[in-house]
Amino acid sequence: MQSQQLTDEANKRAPEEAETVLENPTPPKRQYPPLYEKVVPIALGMIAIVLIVLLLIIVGVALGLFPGTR
Amino acid sequence: MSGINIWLPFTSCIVSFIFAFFVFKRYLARRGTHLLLWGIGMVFYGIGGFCEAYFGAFGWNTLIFRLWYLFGAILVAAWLGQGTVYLLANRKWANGLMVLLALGSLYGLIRVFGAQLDPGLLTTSVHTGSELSGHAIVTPGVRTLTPFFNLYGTVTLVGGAAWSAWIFWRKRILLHRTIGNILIAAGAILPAFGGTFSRFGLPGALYLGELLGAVLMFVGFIRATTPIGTQ
Repeated sequence: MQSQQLTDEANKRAPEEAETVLENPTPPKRQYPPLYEKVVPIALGMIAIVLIVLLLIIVGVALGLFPGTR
Repeated sequence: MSGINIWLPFTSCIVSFIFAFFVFKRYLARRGTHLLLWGIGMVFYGIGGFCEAYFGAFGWNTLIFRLWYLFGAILVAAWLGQGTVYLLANRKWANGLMVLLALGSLYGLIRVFGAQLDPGLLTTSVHTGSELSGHAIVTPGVRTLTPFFNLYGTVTLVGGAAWSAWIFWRKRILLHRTIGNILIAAGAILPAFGGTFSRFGLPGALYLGELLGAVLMFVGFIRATTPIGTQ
């Protein structure tokens, strides 16, 4: 049944693509909608940076590096 | 007393309790220790907001201050973070950390309720006295507790949510959970910054950070638990 599905998939594509589908039966890579493909990594990067800064500040306060904050 | 120092924290309190209601409702339907701890954490968040609003409306009260410092300043981040630990970590580790957190919380309770207070210290060259601040605690060693609890809470809650979002994004699955966890991480950062800036004497940061944080985390929770379309 799987080989039939691959054959059907191949039949829907151009000849050179069809050959690729039959040789490489892995499904196409998933993607989020384009907006999220851009926004999500940027948001995660910003969160990571802010988190590191915040942790450094908290550690600094705990170690008494900032006078008047104890 | 400024109206904004009443209504900002009061709104934060209401949002937190409503959020806690939805979390507990989900806990009763699905169980999961993480939901129980998040619900408890949001109750702590609400208690902190209530105490701030009370202070804004009626002024200094020793009990209200102690409740605010214990629940709002020390415990809330750590208990919310512990919920995330139960969601993401091995059960054995989570239980071990829970025991430590419970013991630490009890220690915090004893220290805060045994601390000497001076409300006059809320008003200094950097503080206007319009916001609650831990500066009123005179007994040494009590304020030292907060960075450790906040460190644990920030790493687990913010880090855990960001980690979850990254895992879902990497696999390109469950978009609603990716978005929800990003919102939760961003929301959890805001009160952490607000509390830190409050310690540095920056006015307004604490209450605004708390309100925006509660709203963002609530929206993130709803988003994470509501699939998009018919995925």
